Amino acid sequence: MQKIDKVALVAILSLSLVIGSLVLGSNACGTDCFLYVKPKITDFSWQNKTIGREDQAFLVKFNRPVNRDQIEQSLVIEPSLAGKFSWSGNKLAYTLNNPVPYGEKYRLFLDSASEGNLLPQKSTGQFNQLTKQAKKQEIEPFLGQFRSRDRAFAYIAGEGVNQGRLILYNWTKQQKTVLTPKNLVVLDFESYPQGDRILFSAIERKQSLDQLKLYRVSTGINHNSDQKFTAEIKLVVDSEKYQNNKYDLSQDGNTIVVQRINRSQPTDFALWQITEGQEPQILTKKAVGDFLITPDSQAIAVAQGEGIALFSLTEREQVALNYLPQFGRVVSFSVDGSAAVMVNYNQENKDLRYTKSLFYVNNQGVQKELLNLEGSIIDCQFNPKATHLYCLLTRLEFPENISPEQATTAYREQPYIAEIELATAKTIPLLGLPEYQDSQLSVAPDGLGVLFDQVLTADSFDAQNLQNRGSNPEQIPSSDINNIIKSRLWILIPPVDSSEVHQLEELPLIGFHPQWLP
Amino acid sequence: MSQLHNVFTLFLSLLVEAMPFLLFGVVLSSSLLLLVDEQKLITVLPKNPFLGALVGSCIGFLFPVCECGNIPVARRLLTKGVAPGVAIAFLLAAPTINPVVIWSTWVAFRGQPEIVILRVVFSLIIAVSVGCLFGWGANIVELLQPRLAKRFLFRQSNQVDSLSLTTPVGDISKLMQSGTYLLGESGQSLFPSPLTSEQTLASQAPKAIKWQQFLQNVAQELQELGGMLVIGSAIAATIQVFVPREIVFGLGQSPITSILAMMLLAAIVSICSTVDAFFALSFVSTFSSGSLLAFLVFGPTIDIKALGLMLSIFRPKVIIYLFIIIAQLTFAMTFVYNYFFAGF
Repeated sequence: MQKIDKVALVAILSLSLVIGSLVLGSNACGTDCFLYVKPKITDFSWQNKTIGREDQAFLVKFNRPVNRDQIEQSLVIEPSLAGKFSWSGNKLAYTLNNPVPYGEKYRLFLDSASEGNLLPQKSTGQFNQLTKQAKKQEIEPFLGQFRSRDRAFAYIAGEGVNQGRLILYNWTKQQKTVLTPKNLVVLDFESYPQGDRILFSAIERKQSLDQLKLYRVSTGINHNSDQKFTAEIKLVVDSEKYQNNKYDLSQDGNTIVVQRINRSQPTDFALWQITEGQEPQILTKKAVGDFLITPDSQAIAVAQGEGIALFSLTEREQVALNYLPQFGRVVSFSVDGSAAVMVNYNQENKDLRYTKSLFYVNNQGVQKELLNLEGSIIDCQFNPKATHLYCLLTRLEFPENISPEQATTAYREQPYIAEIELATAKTIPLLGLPEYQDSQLSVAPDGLGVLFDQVLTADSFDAQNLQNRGSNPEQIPSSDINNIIKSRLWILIPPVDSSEVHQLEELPLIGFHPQWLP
Repeated sequence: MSQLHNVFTLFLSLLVEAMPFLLFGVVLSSSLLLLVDEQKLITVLPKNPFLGALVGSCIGFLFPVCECGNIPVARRLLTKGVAPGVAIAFLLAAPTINPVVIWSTWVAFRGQPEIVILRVVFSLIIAVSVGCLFGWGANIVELLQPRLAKRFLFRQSNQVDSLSLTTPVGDISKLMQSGTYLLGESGQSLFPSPLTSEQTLASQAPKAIKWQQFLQNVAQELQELGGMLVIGSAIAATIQVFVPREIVFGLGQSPITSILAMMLLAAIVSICSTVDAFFALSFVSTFSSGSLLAFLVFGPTIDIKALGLMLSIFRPKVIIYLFIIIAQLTFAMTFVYNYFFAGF
């Protein structure tokens, strides 16, 4: 035997001894041994987080491969959140079927105690062996917790000392907070993405509209309740050199686009982009109409000429990225930005010239006409899953016994709220409103309901009206009473299943322009 | 039909993910082959077996070749008088401890940095211990093939007369021709030009020839290793789709069988170390971190396609000893990690 053989054999024998003792030791140690690392969750992406509509899936990371079926059966979320499992390596992703209901505290348990159907029981010895091995897999128990944001909305108070002030109503805590001071009259507002701040436009009392300034106020939503909350207001856009008109806030909260006019030179009329920490930039100087920032916060859709122009918010170019000549207005985008509804004014078609068509347009290139009407399309909003649209529409009503010549001027617009099922383009009128007003709908981020304001008249409609009404637009209750009392806030709650009908609730709040916080 | 479709999808995804690394590895390896002067390198190597083995393990940083390219380089080092311990350490460590492989492992296992670190550490331990063991415990005649041993001894006894050590081009063993065993295509030596012990690419070849050699080397390595990658990816994809999940899952569950299965797979699949991390990544859901480590550590040191190449250097029994000891060390270390520390 040569030296190399001796050396190698000694090494092999020594290593065999080491391996043997390791294997024996590990068997003796078993799964209760302190050295044995059980499969465990090393990371849960929603742990102690406050989540909202933008959070559609959580990730759970394991330290080692696990029996997926066992985990899927053992994982419990309380209160339950329906969703789908998907795996990538040692990571489990759970995607919710529906937006998470707001104002709840959730717990996630994982316990290996559940012995469920681990692996299919097969009669062959090999599979029995495998099943035993799988059954042996004990997982370190895990308890995770997270909560969803409080359900809350803001509105502009309509009466009393708070008239014109911005009010936050925390639905979860049933708490009302006045956010803005007495000296400011709020005209419009938009929430930042987390609902923690609101951008609002306001003038000081007794000032004219051309002094409109943009402010930001903290809402205290999801604020630690141990400390007293005081709303902090910061001026965002002043009105010294320019007069501010319309504005829009991007969904990421970083960009504001404002239509501004130079005070000393009224022809200097432009869309300005104001980004946090940067100098305001001119987006376009062309005459534009309504505009909306796209949900990805990268572009802005602007009504220009007889079409819609898309301008980039990231590239410094005053040339439109795209132009959609067939549409005259973007009404709204779905939350994920994959779809939009737009209005076609049918200028090209002489048979339809005095009608408007509502089109569904998505990023797959689908353009579908949802409805065509003679009245107006005031506002439309997608529901959180973008399966339905809630629209505030009007239909034209003509007095009886008038001549065709008189009909062009003697009509009145009868507003109503309708639900449109996007898959079938079926329009279901839900509720007739007494008075035409330039109002907006607000669909709750968790799908709870649709908020709207309505001028109250002496013979106001009530919830019973809705219950008694069919789905035929001709049956929409109309009102010819003009005795305005005040503006109340209402919520329309969609049915949970098809056997139920929409519920209408009057909120004990007087105000305008209610908007859910995201 | 849908299973075949799945195999193809998986195969393409593995290929697309790994190809840039292979390309980069080949270009870097070829360029460093030109830039590094081996002659100077040999003179600075330590004589102490441990230090020699340690330094030998790290030479991979200068020659970032995978296991397909390291054997000819190791053989070349031996013919130039480098101690066997150093050459063995280089042979075992170079495919793992080199920047390209560390980088590709990092890209594949970014979420588990411990895999990247432990791959390097375990490979280093194996290379140094085996290098020490054979450097200290064996003489050259017992270790090397007789022809190579004679040349080594002659080189040692006559350091000055290096001309006599010149390896004629026609003499290069067929076994030194890389990549021919699996694909049977090129049949050329890994060294693209007549390369003597005096003539290194880095030091003496004219610029134009050097570039030509560089391009030849890139094309040849890419052809050979690319082919291996395609076959390796196809095997991996097929295993993933056709082997019932229960069986793979069962193997992957036990700390012992999972390591053994992955070591066996590493030896059979013979995928190049530059891209094996991506191959291992496809098993991350069913195999424990320890067994993936076993694959990543054992694969580059031992694989079936390199067997012929190794026989051109070592006596058969030495190769058997090497196989056993490396396998035992890999098993012991990854078992300890798998059982006691996985997850930390």
